[in-house]
Amino acid sequence: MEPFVAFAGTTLRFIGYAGLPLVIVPVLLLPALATRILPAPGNRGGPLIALLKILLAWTVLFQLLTLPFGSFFGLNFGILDATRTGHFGPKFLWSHLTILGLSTVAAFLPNGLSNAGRLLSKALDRIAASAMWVAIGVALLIILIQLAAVILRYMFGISLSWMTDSIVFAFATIFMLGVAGTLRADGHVRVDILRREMSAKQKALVDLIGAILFIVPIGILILYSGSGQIARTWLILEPFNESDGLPVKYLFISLVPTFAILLISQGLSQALKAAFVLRDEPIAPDPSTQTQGGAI
Amino acid sequence: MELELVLALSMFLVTMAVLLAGYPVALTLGGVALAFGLIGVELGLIPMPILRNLPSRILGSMENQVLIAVPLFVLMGVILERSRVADDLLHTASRLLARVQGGLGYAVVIVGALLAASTGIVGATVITMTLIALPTMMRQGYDPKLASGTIAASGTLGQIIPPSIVLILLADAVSTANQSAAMSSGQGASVVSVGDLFAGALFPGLMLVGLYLLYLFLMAQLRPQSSPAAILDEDSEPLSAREILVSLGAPLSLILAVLGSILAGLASPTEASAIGAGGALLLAGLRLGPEVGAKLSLRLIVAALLALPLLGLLVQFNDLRLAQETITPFEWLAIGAAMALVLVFFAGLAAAALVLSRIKQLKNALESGVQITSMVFLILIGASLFALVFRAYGGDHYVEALLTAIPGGLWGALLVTMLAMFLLGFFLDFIEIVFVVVPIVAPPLIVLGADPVWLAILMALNLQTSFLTPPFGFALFYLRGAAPDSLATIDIWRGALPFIGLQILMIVLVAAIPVLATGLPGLVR
Repeated sequence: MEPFVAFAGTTLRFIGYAGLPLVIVPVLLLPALATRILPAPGNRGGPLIALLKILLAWTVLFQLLTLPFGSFFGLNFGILDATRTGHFGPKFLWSHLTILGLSTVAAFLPNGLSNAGRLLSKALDRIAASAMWVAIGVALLIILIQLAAVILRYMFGISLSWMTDSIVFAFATIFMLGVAGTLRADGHVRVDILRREMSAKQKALVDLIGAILFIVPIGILILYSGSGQIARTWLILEPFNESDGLPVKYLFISLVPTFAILLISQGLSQALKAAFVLRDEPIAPDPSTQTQGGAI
Repeated sequence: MELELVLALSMFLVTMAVLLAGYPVALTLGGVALAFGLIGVELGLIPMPILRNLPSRILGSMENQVLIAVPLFVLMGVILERSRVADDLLHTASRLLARVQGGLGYAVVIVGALLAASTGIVGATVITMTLIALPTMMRQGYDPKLASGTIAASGTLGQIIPPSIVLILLADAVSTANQSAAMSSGQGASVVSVGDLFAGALFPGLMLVGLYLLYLFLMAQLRPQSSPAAILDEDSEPLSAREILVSLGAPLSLILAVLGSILAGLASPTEASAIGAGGALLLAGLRLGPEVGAKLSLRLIVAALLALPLLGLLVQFNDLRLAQETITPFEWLAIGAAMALVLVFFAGLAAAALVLSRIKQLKNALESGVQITSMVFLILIGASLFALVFRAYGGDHYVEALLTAIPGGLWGALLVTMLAMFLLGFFLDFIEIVFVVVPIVAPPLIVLGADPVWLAILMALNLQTSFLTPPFGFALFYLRGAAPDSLATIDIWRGALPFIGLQILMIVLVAAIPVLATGLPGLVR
């Protein structure tokens, strides 16, 4: 039994990693969009601009890859070796040359990419919107279930474990699935002391950098560190604690990676939108998107 | 200086800088912490497994029974917000009190307190009162500073008068802090529940209402021209008793059911929040039903509202428990009747939801509830990553050493903490302060001898004040957004100052007389 569990766990983790390229590829496209900031659309610029583009893409890509993956995979692009030995070894040169090569390609990708970016952003928004719909439905449901639990307990002296579990499940579902849609509607509170004075492009720059440096790495950290637990809980199809509890704790735990994937995908969509604003070709906002909330 | 301290400090400073750049708070907290965590891992200061704790921390907040009340109270607030209960209340109260010297001011404070005890959503309350009460006050010749100050301050009452979200979050943070304080000092910890904080905040909240009213009374006596009475009543039609009953009765009965059941120890805050959300749905259906002409739905809603007291009577006089040994035929009859009433109740809820969705308000209200809940919990997730890394660098020990080194023991440390929270409140939201600052500063303060409930109420009052402090207080911000341009921003700011003074007075009072906060929770226990 034990080797089977170990084998299956390892397999599931590998499947998890195989999913990561799906995340990485769109991330690779982003700097290409971002680097087009420098020359105005239609003006391709001279060799200096090209060099700047490569440098910028290199910086962004390097940040992107070291921040989430460097430490996780034990690669640190030779930096750790360099700090230990005091000189940059072949690993450092090799990895940086690879990133430089990738950035050069990324910096000169054809303009037709912008259409793909638009479509991608729309598709990602649709994912967030459908998750939001589920969260909205569950919000109504949690009122009804909790009320039913109250009535059962105080009127008929009945307390059902599966009901308690489903309230917890519903509670977690509301925000785990609602976060991405809230991000899309710009419903997460910001300190807007300086933001109020910023131009649209400055705002977009903040959002682009934030999405790449904060949202995507956080999502990847959650996906990566939670993969072991997900594999375990699915292997034994873990139920909630009590014997008469809800038998689907593994679905409940799966909300965590779902949340991470939603966060990453919405982060990419935000980054794409910001990049398009920086290129002076903003994507028209979706009329259904608006903040409903206010401060509490 | 040690490298860890330098990194912990620079993490704090970088976070502040990124926050000022305007990036969403939750993601900034988590993202900066992750970057600094990875730097620590690279330098060999932090073991990687610490960062890998994040998913289990997230699971911890997903399973947190205390916090289930947050989405339910938020939903209660946003549904009630759509039911225009605020508009009705304000119209009734201002027409009742308009002819008294300073009466409109009293009306705003009282309505603010009632809304605080029912919806508790500051932004919505301030906007509604600004749109409805401010023009009337200006027409009557109120001093614009006094009028806007009264509205903003009354709006923030939702933060301190239970049930409020900040108290639920504080209860969670302070009770964790209490446990870790007990562990480090080796004593047993008493549990701090949401109910304790609700009970503890009741007196200070009501006293604050009293202070506001007293201030308005003094202004009306000393400077009558600042808050004149209405000379001519524009709406000549007097209020009918029925109007008063409906507009005041609806929120009052909801407050009684929700707060009453918590304070009487009948229901847990989570259970009471579900009652509140269900009641808000029924009231919204009742209020908006006539607009869509949904006669059948209206009847069902009325029947559901009538079913509730009947159910109460049935439970009072019969043992309906299905698990008891023998059930007499009469009890079977009562159980059957109760089940029928429960069905009627749920049919009423469905009808109310239908009414709301007919006027396209159901999805909006629920979406708004989901967005507010998601915002709060994403901050919780970001802040827990921040706390993980900050602790890994030993930041909590530095803060503890700093607080215990301040001369004056508990009082010195408390003064510094409160000042720091007050200053942070100038540009941070209360949620971040509760999730980031409280877990770090509360354990040493409790070890120094602070009562956890007393400490939490002081912090809640302090955080409430941050809504009022210019230039970035949220209440002022919402008021500015909804007020006409003829009202100068500087007047809004200056109007808030006396009320900030009252807040500080209240904080000093609670600090000096702890029984104001701890008395009622002790009794309820």
